[in-house]
Amino acid sequence: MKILKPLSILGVLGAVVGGAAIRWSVRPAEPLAIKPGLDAPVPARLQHAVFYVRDLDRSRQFYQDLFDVQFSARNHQDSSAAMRVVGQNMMFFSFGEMHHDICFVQNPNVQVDNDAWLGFTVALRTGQTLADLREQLRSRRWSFTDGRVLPVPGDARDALYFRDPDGHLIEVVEAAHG
Amino acid sequence: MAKQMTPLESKIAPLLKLKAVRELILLGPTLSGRRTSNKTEDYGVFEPSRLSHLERVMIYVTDLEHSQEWYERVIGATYAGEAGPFPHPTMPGQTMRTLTLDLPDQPGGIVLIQRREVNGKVVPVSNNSHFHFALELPEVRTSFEMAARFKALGQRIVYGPVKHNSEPGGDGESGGNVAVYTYDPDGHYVEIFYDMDTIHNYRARYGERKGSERA
Repeated sequence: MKILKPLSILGVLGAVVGGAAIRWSVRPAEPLAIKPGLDAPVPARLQHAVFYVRDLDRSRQFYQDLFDVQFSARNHQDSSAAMRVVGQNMMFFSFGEMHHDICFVQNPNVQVDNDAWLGFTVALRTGQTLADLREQLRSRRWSFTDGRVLPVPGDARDALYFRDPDGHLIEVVEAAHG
Repeated sequence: MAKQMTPLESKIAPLLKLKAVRELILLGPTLSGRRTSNKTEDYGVFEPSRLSHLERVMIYVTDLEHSQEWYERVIGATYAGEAGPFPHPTMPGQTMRTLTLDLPDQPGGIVLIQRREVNGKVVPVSNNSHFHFALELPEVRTSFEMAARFKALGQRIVYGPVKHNSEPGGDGESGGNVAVYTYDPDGHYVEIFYDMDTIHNYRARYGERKGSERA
């Protein structure tokens, strides 16, 4: 899987996001501090996100219709001891390679909000286009914004972002070029 | 605030590796006939979706520099750049500063964001949006090694290392990933894992047969 290296540009760049000019800066590298356990493993990549939703079936419908994500497991309080202990239910979805890439959690004790994160970014599979996604969103009368939600210097890929039924912000970028 | 696992619960959680304990917890649904399956094998073989991968997560933090230090020291992420303050793209009146972190195979994989109200006050961070996000280790490295790193750094291990399946030693959950969990300075729940099941695993075991077609 080829992933662009969008942040490798040193120096200061400007970007325009949501109509506002944003100044991007990179501080000069500092000498490495002593880091205990430096020889220990470093995670290679972000792989999955698990987030709260109010209605599992509504979210399943939304994400499957829009992205064709594959339903890979349901951990229910009637099937999972851990879920029974914490009092929540989960649905797992695969993008088609790994067992799960996004998961939904419904917990009646959690008042779902959008104040823990701005959101997350997903990349389209090669062959899929943002034009098709725009058309899908328009046909559903689902509001979206063109462009990046945050500046990503050096990454010229097309993007758009919108909110899911629970207000979680999803940024979608086109597949990496090359 | 979402319920976080207490240190006592963290100590009790490994009992879920014992099938007898799991069966005892699920005794009610078993006896009442409500018991269902959570095995991925019952959901059929995956097909490609329209998405390729999760590319970055943009989380709110209260102290940008403190969180940067934590992600560099505990996780091993590296500084990529920063921006702001600038207007929040979706919350009128708020401004934000961002600091972007690279992971070895994923530049810009984690973006830390500090929000401020018009009066300059930092916006508190909730734990009610995402349950956790997960970082995958490179091949041949394990979450047992990551747990050792956490211990060496005095970082609390909230859960794990544990394998998420029903094999001996597994906790009865789904995915096959061997995971260890911790909290970052704002209480964001972070998973580090390796060896998650893939579509190739399932195809090798079951071919194209769906759960209902298997013996």
